[in-house]
Amino acid sequence: MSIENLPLSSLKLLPGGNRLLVRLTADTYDSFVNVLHEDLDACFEYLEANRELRQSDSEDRLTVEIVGQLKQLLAYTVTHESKVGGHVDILVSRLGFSWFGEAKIHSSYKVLYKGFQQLCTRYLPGTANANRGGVIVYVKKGNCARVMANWRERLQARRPALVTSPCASPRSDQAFHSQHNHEGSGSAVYVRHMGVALHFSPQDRDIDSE
Amino acid sequence: MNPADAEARIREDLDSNVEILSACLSILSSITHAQACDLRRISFAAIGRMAGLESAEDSLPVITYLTGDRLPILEAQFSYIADDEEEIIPNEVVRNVMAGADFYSPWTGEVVPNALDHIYTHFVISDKAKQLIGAAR
Repeated sequence: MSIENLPLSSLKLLPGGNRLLVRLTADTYDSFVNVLHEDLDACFEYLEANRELRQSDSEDRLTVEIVGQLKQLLAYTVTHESKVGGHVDILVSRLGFSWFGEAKIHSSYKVLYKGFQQLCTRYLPGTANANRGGVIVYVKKGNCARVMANWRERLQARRPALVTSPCASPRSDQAFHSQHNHEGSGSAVYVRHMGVALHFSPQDRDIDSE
Repeated sequence: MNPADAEARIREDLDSNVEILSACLSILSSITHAQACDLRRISFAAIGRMAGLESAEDSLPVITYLTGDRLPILEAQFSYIADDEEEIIPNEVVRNVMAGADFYSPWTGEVVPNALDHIYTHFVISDKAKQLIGAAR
């Protein structure tokens, strides 16, 4: 398509055009977080597309990859292991808005709950412009959708007052939202729980030995 | 920050993306050496020319970087253009129209059918870019 001036109706049809326009107009906390969630989904898809290379990666190595993409290509102010009530895995800031992320390789639901509690009671201030965050779950064992569904049930069982809701994104079977009141601020905090499917177990070679 | 610092940041961030790196450096150089009057309004097409890019698609990642937080030298503005008249419109309005809300003509108050056909984006230089230009002179 020619680069001469295009109306938004044409720009949004370009690959990545709609996302750019949403990004350029994101000047509220809600819109900042919505764009960030889409960008995180793109980072997860990149990791998943190369999952065969990620089998021995640690939690930190996987998280650093996401931080690198957010910082370098998408130009966020983003840090890994920033000191905010502890060492938060991911802290993204823009225009005075902050988003906090805690990442875990799934080994048990207890580990995920620990991550959720770290995020909500240690890192997230729960105040205006700092009440959004995410739990990133790296699933290497398989069936990411099932893991996330189980995690949602178990979280709900542990915290009956917490409200969960589906995630309206193309990755909805691997993600959900939760909302609860922050113990410190008393205000609502919003957490997006995001599964990253990293299981890799090729079975084509087994056929040769049959 | 001076132009050398800005260039160093671009190189640090984009060293694995040669095309985007080169385009961003070209734009940085164009902006720091341009006349003020040429920078009052930078069109989407002008961005492409500064960066030596031929297609609109190629300019999207460059704009993403230069309007992001790492080196925000450009700021997007949106305008409604009809009948040789132009009105700058707030981001919030554009966001809502993109999400399907009606857009009302700033001159007649009537709903504009297919409003996105009449809304364009252009760029202005940010305070950070003005600082860079000052340091370059």
